[in-house]
Amino acid sequence: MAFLLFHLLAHILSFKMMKEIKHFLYLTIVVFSNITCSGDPSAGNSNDFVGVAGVLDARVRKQSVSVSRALNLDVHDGLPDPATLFISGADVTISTDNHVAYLTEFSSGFYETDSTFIVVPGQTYRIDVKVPDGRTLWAVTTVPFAPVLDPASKRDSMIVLYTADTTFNDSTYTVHERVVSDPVTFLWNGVFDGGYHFSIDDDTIWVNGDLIENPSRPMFTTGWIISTASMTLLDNHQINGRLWRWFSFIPRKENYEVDASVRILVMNPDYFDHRRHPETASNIHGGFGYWGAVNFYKRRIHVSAINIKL
Amino acid sequence: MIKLDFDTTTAVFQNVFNVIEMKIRQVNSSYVLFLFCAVFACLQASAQEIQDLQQESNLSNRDRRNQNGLPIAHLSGLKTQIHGVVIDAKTGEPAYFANLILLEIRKGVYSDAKGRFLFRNVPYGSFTLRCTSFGYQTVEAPIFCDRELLQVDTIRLEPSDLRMDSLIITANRETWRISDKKLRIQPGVRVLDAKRLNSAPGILEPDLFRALLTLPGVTASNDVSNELYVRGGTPDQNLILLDRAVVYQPYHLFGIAGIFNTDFIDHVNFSLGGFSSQYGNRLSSVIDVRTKSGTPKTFTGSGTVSLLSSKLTVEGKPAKNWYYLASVRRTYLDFATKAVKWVGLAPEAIPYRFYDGLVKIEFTPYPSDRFGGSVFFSNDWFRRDVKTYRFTEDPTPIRLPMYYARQNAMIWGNFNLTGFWEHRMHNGFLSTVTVFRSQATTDIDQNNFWTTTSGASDSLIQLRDSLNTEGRAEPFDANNKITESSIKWDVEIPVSRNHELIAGAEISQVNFSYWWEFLDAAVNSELQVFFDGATDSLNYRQKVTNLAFYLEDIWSLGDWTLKPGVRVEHFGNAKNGWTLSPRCAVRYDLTPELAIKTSGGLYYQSLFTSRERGNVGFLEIPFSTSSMPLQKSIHGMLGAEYFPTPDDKWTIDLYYKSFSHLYRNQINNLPRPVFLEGSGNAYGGELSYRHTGKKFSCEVAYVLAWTRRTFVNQPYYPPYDQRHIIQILATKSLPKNWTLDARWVLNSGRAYRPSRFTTNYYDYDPITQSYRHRINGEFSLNHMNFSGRFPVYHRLDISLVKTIHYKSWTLKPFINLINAYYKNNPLFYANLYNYNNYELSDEPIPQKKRVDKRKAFGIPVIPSFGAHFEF
Repeated sequence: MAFLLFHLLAHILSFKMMKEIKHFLYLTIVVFSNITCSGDPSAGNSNDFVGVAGVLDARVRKQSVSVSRALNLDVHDGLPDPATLFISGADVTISTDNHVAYLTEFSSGFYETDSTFIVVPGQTYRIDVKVPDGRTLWAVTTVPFAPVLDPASKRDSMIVLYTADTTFNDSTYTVHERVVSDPVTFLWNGVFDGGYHFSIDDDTIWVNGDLIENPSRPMFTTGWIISTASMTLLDNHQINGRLWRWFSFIPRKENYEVDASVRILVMNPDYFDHRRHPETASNIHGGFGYWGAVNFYKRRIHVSAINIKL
Repeated sequence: MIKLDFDTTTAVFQNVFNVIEMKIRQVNSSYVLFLFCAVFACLQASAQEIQDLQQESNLSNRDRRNQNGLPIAHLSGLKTQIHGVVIDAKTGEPAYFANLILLEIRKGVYSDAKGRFLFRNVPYGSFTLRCTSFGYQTVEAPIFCDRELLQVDTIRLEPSDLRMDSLIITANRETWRISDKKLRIQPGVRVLDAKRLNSAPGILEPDLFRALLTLPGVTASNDVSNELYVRGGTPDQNLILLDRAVVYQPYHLFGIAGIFNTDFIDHVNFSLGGFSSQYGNRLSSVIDVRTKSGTPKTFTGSGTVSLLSSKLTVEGKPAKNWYYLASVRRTYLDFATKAVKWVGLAPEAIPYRFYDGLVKIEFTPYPSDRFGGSVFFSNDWFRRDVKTYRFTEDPTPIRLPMYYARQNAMIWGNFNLTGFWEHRMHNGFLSTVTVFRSQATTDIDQNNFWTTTSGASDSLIQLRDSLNTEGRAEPFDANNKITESSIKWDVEIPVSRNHELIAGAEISQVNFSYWWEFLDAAVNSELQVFFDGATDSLNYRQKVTNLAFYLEDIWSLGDWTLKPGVRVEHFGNAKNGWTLSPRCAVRYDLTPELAIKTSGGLYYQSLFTSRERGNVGFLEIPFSTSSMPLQKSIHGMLGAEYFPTPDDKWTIDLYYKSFSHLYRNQINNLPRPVFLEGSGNAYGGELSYRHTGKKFSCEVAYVLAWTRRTFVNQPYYPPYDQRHIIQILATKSLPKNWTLDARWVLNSGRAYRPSRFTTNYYDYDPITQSYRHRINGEFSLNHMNFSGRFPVYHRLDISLVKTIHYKSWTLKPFINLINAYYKNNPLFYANLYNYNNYELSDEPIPQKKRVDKRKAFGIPVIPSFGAHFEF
């Protein structure tokens, strides 16, 4: 359209136009219309952005990365088919100083390493993504070391004393429990800025399996991610001010025991900051999203839950 | 000292003798008088004319080199000189830089600032002398050279109908070749005179800043605003001077128009970067506006009447040695919209107007001395009172004598007082002392309160008092003022014929005084008041005393011209106090048609505004860099200009500017602004071609540019980054004194902050060690600052002007059409709809209608008409 208008105007004004003007016009038309009217890729700005979402996790056999687009709705008419927002055919690599891993696409916009890729704590990994239209993105992240439970906090077992009022209505139990045990504090060493998720959950089989609705649910967990390295359990149902959740405590059986694990998941700031606030921050150069890493610590603990009838 | 070759030396002496001989002829009745005159003539002519001769001699040498094989009218071997004067036939003023050509031998010279010209080494014979100058009709005259020295009659140039008196255009708006020696050395300098300014496109009327916007390298942040972003610099980095006095608030509402009425402007020296050490305390560019200082022999005037404004300018010489200039302009949008409301075509009037004016007086008691003073003022005025009456709650409400009043009064503007004394000595020494006081003020008063009228009962009065107490509104009041008082002294000292020193000193005191409360500005809103994320209240007072000294040396070395300079400044309470800024410009004339120029330097600035967010700025205020490092910039410019024919010009400019210690408000909830420090750079190239003909003139320009800023280690393209610009300006002369002008621009989109995105990705949750398919139908990516691009922009403005002469009057009715074919260019995008509670379904949903609501449109088709008159 712009080209046609330009051409038209050039003719209108070419009453006695000199050759130089014509040559200049046509030269600029060719250069300009090809560059400007096709989205101006050299501008570094666009109304179509590329994003990467990926987390290195040593527990996972294959590391995966999602590559997709974000469209600026100010200038795009209507919402597109979500499937078209995945970017296929990108070149994705994860590299360290002495090794490069090429990721393969196993579904549209979803790329993974092979199983030989090993995540090493303390190692810095760089991700490079080149999408088919030539745009490139990169980011670096360092895998955190796992925190260690302070020797003073190491315990092999813990006892949870509680009271509970259980009501039964329309085949649904409603439990109003109240923990009366003394608080239990866990201290962690080797921590750094980032996020932590703490839980005590059963990693074997529930002893009283008939009480369990979802075996994967933890017994104790922080509501989401916290940023402190000291956690006090059983303290008025709070952990450092956050709600203490006891998901699996539905005591059809008043007293039970379970072999569980104390777990802490540590997330580096690249993940903790950018995934939690994807709208305001990103560590992806040239795009949006996040590229982070997590690590993990686990220690066995035996939990006894005893209902004290007052 | 320059060593002259034999021809040049001979020419210099010969010219001196010729001048003496001329003087003898004029005064041969008295021998004594002859002696005096001869000596006087020698002294007076020596500085300027010898320099002219030197240039002419060099030109002639080159001409000789270039004229091998050209047909010569007569080959007798005898040579002559031709001299004369070119003047404006209407005003009698000298026509500077008129182009004079002897057609048969293709020999050309230019008239100097006094309109004088001199051909040397012209063979005897018959020739045709053609004289052309912008805005004037071409004059051709036969001359016959049969003596050693030929003085031709005074050439009187008649104003041309093609001289861009229409509102739009034009290719000829810039002086063809810059006559000011100081300016013509540098690349990226444009000199615009009044005729050119009046031809620039304007929404309301011709505007200085709108005219500057048509120059390559100058852009604006949006379609409506005239605020100038020059080669990557921001508006606060432009030094805007009116008769050497700084102007702090040079725009009317939202930058829609400048405060300078183009009718009182004589010329504008516009430097896009790499400017000389004469100017300081700005990083990007200089817009040096000089008002008329002419010497018309009679009373003259001009004016314009259009749909929304009128203006009138008069000037004259009421007595010998006295000169005055008076100009006033006023919009009548308030009256016009009131009339529209009265006839029922609009629901409400717009109580807004602006007016500005200038009064200037000059007194020249002696030829060597000139005294003058001027008063300049501009004011924007907005006042709106709304009354909402209270009614009873009965089934049939009755109006009570009590109402809620919303009063909104806003006045802002400038007031400048300037005085000067100019002393010129016979040897070319020029001293100028300038004293000025420049003030920009903003006064806003908003009140919301309950009031009662006569007949209110005691209970209503009690209710009024309780409502005013309990529901105490937070009225927004602001009183901002920036005042600069300054005295400066500039001298030009001719050291030798090839060497001139320019020096100066300046002391100024700047007072910043800002106070407001209850602003309650919305962050990220489309309109940013005062500065980005302005605090709810502010009490800011600073007093800064600045000192500056500069020295420049203009040195001609054959085809080379050098202008090294240095500026030393001390900024009152700045962290790094004294600064030293070396600057330099070099020009090399490869041939008479081709010149290469370069310039560069170091620049400091001690004040800044902070406005980048939002899309429209309003009443920006500058802060002082007290306790912070001074803003700093380094410029490098390289350019060339080529005149293949007298009617054609090619120009290419390359530039680079780096910026450091830039400041931007952090935007938080703190009671005071907290400024982040950043940096940036800008680079690019500009290519333009210009043709001027009798019936058709045009200019085509292409600009490729990059502008970057970096704050908090995040580089980005700011909203004034515009990669490609191409524009065509054209003027076509039609029969019966009609002129058609057109301006067409095609730009790549500017950067901006997108408001909403949609995306779709797999999100890994390390807690559950599972992937979740996340579809964000609409969400923000605020960290993608200015990551969006507006679509390609193009617009056509056309104008049709008829010129009617009647006795001593000239009337020019015009029809103006902005955005002629209505390209719906967006002004900005906004969240103008409620997108909450929206879920993306699996099926694509056509949202076109809703998305369109977000677009704030730019300039629509604006037809206007009016008439310009001169007498």
